[in-house]
Amino acid sequence: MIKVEHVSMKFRMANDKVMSLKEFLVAVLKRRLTYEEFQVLDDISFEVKKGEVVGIIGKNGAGKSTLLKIIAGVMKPTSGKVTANGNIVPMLELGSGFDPELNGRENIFLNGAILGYSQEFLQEKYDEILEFSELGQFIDMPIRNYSSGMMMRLAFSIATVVQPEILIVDEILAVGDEGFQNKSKARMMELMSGGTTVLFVSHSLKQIEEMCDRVIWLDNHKIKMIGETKEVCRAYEEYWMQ
Amino acid sequence: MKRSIKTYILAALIFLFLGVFLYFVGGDELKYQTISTEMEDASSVLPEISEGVEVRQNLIIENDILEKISIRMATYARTNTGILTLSLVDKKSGEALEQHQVDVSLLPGDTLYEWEFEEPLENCKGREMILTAGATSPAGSGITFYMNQNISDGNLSVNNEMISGIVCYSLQEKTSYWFGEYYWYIVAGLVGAVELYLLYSDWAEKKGRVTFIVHMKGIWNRYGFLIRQLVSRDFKTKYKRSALGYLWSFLNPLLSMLVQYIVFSTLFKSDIENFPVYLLTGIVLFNFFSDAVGQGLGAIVINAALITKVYVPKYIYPVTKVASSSINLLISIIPLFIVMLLTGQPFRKSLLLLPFPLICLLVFCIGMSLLLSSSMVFFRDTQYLWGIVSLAWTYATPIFYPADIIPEKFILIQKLNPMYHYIRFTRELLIAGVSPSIQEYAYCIIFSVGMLAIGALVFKKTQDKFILYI
Repeated sequence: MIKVEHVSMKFRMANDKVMSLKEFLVAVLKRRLTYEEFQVLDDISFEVKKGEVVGIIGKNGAGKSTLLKIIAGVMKPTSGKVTANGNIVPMLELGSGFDPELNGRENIFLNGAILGYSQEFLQEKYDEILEFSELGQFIDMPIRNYSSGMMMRLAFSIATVVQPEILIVDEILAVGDEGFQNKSKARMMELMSGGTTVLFVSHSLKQIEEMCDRVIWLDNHKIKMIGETKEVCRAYEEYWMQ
Repeated sequence: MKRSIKTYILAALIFLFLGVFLYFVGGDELKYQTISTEMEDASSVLPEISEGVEVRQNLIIENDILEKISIRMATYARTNTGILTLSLVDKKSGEALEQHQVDVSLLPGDTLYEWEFEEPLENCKGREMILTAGATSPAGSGITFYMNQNISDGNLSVNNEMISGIVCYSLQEKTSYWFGEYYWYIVAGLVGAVELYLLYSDWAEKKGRVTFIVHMKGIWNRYGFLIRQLVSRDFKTKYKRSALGYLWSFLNPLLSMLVQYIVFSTLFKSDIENFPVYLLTGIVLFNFFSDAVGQGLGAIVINAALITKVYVPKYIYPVTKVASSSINLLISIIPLFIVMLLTGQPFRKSLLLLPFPLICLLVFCIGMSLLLSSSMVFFRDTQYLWGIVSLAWTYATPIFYPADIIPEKFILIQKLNPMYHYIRFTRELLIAGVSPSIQEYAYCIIFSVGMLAIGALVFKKTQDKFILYI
């Protein structure tokens, strides 16, 4: 389903991120525009089978998010290859695909389109999304008036209404009140048992243990360990104990 | 297979239709180029043309067709009587070609008299002709022609007596273009090329290669819904919290025209035919340009959150920004038509060509947006620089002033200014009511396609690095 082969990612970082023409010219003139090679991922290879739920853990800056971006196709690796069969749906951060001026209904279609759903599909699933989000009459209100919880409920409902073939989740499960959290967890479970392949990044070992079949532990830009959830989690915990 | 045959026929029909359409709407302007010969400066006048005086001026016609002869006439600042007879004779055969009579009592002083033939004279190229003038006016109440005394080429005579000088005249000639002569071959060639391309594309698809058109079709199938959503989002949110809403697209150009009209009408009104329409055309087109590019410029940076999460071809963002601005353009065309109605500007068939400059402008804006939106990712200064550049651009484009007040030394800048060409093209369609010459079509196409190519190339080269900088 997903095949990651010898993926390496290097950033060429200028001493300072040059953001303006003036800074750039000054730096060039002073010959201070030296670059630093910065290795984010170093020869990563693994495979994920269809329907598997794979967790990715590791320290901050270990390269987890970069790896997800490469798999999602928004970033090109410096070397190596990623093949993914099936449509990839990323779970967007709090409302990043929303427009605050539009109402909930219009945002469902906008956000759905960004995630790659078709118009017919969204029309068919509209009621289901509305019901799951528990927004009721608020759906016709511009979402700039929504609370962050309401917005997140809407985003979650849109992202999970399909059975995406590959779902990418970058820590966003703590959504809404207790009730909605349980509901969304149940929805995730349902998705995972329904054959969706899930890549899941989290710092919460509890969540990982609950949901994942396998875990990849990234450390120092390499795969430190890959295997059964329990084993990897135990090793990870021990690592932090030291 | 059936579907592809349908596509072939449809493509051929569309191109044929466009060819026929342009042929009939574009008319003579596409087939012929009009050339007016330079008139000599007046330094003196001929003797009075009264009864018994005959003026002969030899002419050589340089182009195929002669349409009009303009002569600068003087009345000695008095009211004259009698009939002036102008005639044109072939020098070799002596055959009389054209004749025309002028009631001299109706002539105002120092006037450029235009003698337009009822039927243009054809096959004139290289022919020598004689322009003769005689009158029935009694001496003391005849008119005369201006002349330049300093040019002595033995071609001017009065009563068969050579005099040194040349009458101040100008010939309006026409020459047919290769474009007009081979028009149908060119159309046929285009249709053939399109069909060949479709054939090639089908063949390549079977071989597993993807040509541009197949790629675009795929993009539309997959992202068409997203594109429509993004465009409608931009359009819906533009005036979301304003009381008048979409009406602003309509009022904005109208009101800014009103302000500029009041300010500038005293300065330029007399020089320009139908100043309100002239002004509004410039405002509508230029506003679209600066709005579309201004929006497109930030398209990548603003959508950073999406670009780092979801894979969508990145050019969709700037292109949809320009597309949503173009809806505004369509709305603001309405006040333009209203002002045309109010000022009594006739609606001629040339109006049907209006989509041409608008589409060229749209393509140009897409090119600019692609270029600037990728530059914006690396240098945020782009937006401030663009503010200044677009201000300078506004003044460099004849929006509220007549195009011909530009001094000689800046002419090149004007010729290289694409906005000048788009606006001029549109004005010619609306005000002069004729299709511009074929060169103008070429300029518009070259600027749009050139800009699109530059923008697309820069965008393509840099797009993989966007994510590292946004």
